[in-house]
Amino acid sequence: MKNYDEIVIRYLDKQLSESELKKFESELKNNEDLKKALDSYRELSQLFSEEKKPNVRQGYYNEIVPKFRQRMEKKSNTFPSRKIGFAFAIILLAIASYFILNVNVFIPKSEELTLQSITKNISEDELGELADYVSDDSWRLLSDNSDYELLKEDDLILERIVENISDVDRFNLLNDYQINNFYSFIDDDEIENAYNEILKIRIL
Amino acid sequence: MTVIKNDQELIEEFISGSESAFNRLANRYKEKIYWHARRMTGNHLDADEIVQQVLLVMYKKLKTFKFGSSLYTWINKITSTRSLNLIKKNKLRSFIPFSENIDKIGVTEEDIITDLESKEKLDKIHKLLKKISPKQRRVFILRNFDELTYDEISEITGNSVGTLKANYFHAFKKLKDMVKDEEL
Repeated sequence: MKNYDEIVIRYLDKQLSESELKKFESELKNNEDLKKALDSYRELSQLFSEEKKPNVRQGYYNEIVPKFRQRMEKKSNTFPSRKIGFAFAIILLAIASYFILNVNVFIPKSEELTLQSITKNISEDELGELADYVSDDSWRLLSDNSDYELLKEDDLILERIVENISDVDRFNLLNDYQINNFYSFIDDDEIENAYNEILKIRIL
Repeated sequence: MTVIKNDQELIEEFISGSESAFNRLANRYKEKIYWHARRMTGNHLDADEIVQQVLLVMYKKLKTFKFGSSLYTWINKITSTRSLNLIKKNKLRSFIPFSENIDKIGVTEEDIITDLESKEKLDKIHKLLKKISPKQRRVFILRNFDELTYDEISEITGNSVGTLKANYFHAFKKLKDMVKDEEL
């Protein structure tokens, strides 16, 4: 059977020229295969057109703008986001993304996602490459947050991460931390921002 | 009597400080934004979130809108980009479950569709749409549901009309083949 997909789709999409349209309509009268092809696409179009006006819960559309206004209000009253959590989130996500998407390291879902689990068996050269992959801006963000209330120990470690140490050492230090440890000071907004940032900067 | 103002008048009023002008613009386009996002993401919660994000972008960026295109095209561009970003983000999130909130992804329990028959139909269509690539899905939705011209879609996606027509063809054909396979 001849393939009529293209001509039928162009017909339904109103993309046929006048002469093509005349020819198509005339052939349609005598060509059963063409008619069948058209019917199968029409059936699908019909299904889509039925979707266009579903019944929705009364009031939903009326809630959209007031909800937006409420969120605006809330946002303007919220303390500026804690950049330190954001920076950590970015770095950890970048590292995890790098290994999962580029190196294709398999991490079972049951296994806790830790830097240890991600970076084990990684050579020094690969760590160096990874350090380049995490943007300098993210590293820098860590050092731009001296006013953030962290435990003294965390301050010390952060300082060492961002100042004058080799790429390999940076990761060795970060390896001491499990991602779960960061939950206590990274809120949902920061995690959202981190995902956004990763998508924007490097990945996918 | 309520005077119906066009987009340009409302934008100008909003820029001059009228918050109610913004509300009127938001009310004018909210359903279209919701349904584009819903078809792209396939669920209510994500679509609802995208509507809020798009309104926020509109609120912040309307001052820079140049009327080079229609407001609807501009809003569609924002909605479409936000939807694609959310799809990517959910994919990234499923690879890297950074927080314990991973269970939120794809939750479809809360919905605004009231009758079962509509819901089943909608689920079937959105399940089909989800099986084609997000980029093809975007073109298909913009053309078939939002009823934009290829020139308008080109403005939104940055792709040539020829590429868009090819995308639309492949999307439509794939959808038809999937429906046919289901029937067999």
